[in-house]
Amino acid sequence: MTEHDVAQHARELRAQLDASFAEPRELVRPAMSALLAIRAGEELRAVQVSELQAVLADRPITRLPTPVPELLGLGAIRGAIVPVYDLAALLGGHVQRRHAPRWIMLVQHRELIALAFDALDAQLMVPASEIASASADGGDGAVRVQGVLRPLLRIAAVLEIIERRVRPLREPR
Amino acid sequence: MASNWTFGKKLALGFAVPSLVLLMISGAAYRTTESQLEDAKWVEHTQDVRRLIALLIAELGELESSQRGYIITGDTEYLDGYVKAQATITTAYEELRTATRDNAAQQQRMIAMKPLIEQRLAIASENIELRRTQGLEAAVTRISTGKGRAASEQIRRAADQIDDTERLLLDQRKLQAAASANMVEAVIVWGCALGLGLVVLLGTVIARSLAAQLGSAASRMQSASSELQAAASQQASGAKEQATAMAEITTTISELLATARQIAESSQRVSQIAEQTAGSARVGQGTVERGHESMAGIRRQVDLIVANMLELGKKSQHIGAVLDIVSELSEQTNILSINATIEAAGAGEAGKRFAVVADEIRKLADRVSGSTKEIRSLIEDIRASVNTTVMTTESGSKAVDAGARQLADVATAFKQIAGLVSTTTDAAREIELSTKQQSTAVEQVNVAVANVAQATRENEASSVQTLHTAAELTKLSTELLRIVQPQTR
Repeated sequence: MTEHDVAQHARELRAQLDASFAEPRELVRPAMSALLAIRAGEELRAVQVSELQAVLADRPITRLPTPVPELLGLGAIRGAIVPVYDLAALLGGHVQRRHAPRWIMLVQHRELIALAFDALDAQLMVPASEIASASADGGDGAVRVQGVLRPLLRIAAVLEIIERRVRPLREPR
Repeated sequence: MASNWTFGKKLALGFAVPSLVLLMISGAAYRTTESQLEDAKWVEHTQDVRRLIALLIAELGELESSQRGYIITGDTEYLDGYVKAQATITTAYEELRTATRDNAAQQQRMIAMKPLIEQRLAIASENIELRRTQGLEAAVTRISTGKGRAASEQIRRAADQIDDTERLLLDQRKLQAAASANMVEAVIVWGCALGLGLVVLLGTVIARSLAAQLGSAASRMQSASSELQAAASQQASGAKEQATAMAEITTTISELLATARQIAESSQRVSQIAEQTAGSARVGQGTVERGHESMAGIRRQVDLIVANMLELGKKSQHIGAVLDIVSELSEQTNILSINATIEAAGAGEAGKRFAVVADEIRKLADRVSGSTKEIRSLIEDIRASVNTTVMTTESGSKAVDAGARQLADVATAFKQIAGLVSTTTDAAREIELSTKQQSTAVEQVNVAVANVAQATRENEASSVQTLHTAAELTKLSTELLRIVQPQTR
């Protein structure tokens, strides 16, 4: 890349930024859905931002003994002690890792729950029309990100899995 | 006789023994002759004594006769005979006494005779004086006393005793002289016989010994002369071959001399070429040293390039660190935009406008992230290029080092070449000098060989002469052997 090319690229970026503020708002955003393209273990998924409370990175996780293998430990997030679950393990994948997942997305259940995943590939604004609806056989839908079709991660389904793991522990013995 | 005696010894012995015998005979003859002469002298002496006695007695008679004549006649002429007889008696007495000094008994008799003679002379003198003075009668009377006659008789008896003694001595001495004559005769006869026998014996022995010795020597000389003849023949043949060989050697040395001169000329040319080569080697050495200095300059420049490239690598690493910060900021911005979107979605309708800003922030963060990736890619390219350049430059530096070492080796090789060429030049000069000396030496050898060839020819002639001489010697030895030992040939 030559110096002239770099300058040209900078000019284009500046023009795009100026144009984004110059265009009428309604025209710019007809009906867009904010999505995050993530990777949990080997699973490539897309999650709607509207289902999340926050996205964080590089938070410390304190491990503790637990009968729930998907529970990585506890994290101090926004002034609260939050259980952190391994999303890849919850999705049923066989995970072999030496380090804890870097990324955490915070979801609201009865209390805040953190789901740890490995990589944040992209943040997308996708027209709602491009999101495939849930299929009749119980699929959660999918969206095409950079040419790759990613299944949509439904947070409610994940919370249900967590509920199934922790419910036996709440029952009196 | 000793067989190893020399001729001189044998001949000396042959002459010495007869000479000794002759000497002995001569000595004996001399001694006996001398004894004979002594005896003859004593015989003559005795005869002289007897003659003096006879003279004395005769003069005594003459005295008496003269006295009587004067007394009787008164004639004075008788006195002359008287005086003469008186003198003769005195003289004879003295001579007789002198002649008998060797005989003590005769001396005693002579001493006893002297007063008798003096008495008789005195009586005669008195008678004459008496006659002259007193006449005849007085004188006759005096004479008639008989004193004079008695004195004369005593004198004659004494003279007879002396004469008898002398006569006995004469007989003895004659016997001694006869014995000496016989001894001389015996010595001469027997000595001559003995000498003759010895001479014959020694002559025979020496003649046989000399004949044997000369025969043996002549035989050996004959054998030796034959061997000498054979040796001289071989020597003549060898000298002839040697003369031929010396002629060939002379030719070869002449060729060697010509070759040595050619070598000297070639060595001179080699020396000149070696000097030119040494000059070229020195020029090449200078060029290589300048090339070495240029290589050192290149080495310094390459080191500088490497240092700058390493500095550029460090700077690019710094840019990467800064880019990490930018990337981190971009990621944080992205996270912030995501959370802003979440918050905007939670705010409902009121949050839509904020959602737009959050989306723009997200886009900006995406672009920053993209640009960061591009810059990181560029930096990685730069670092790869820097690393490649550093490696290439280090390779170049190593190549420069290798070139410098090779140039140093070349410089060393040129130096060695220069040294070797210098050594070669010196060697060529030494060869040239040595070859010139060799040429001179060969010329001297050529002259010497010519002299030797001349000497060899002369030696050949001498050998022929020696051969002839040896043949003559063989003939002579044969003849000598024939003379000495005629029965052998």
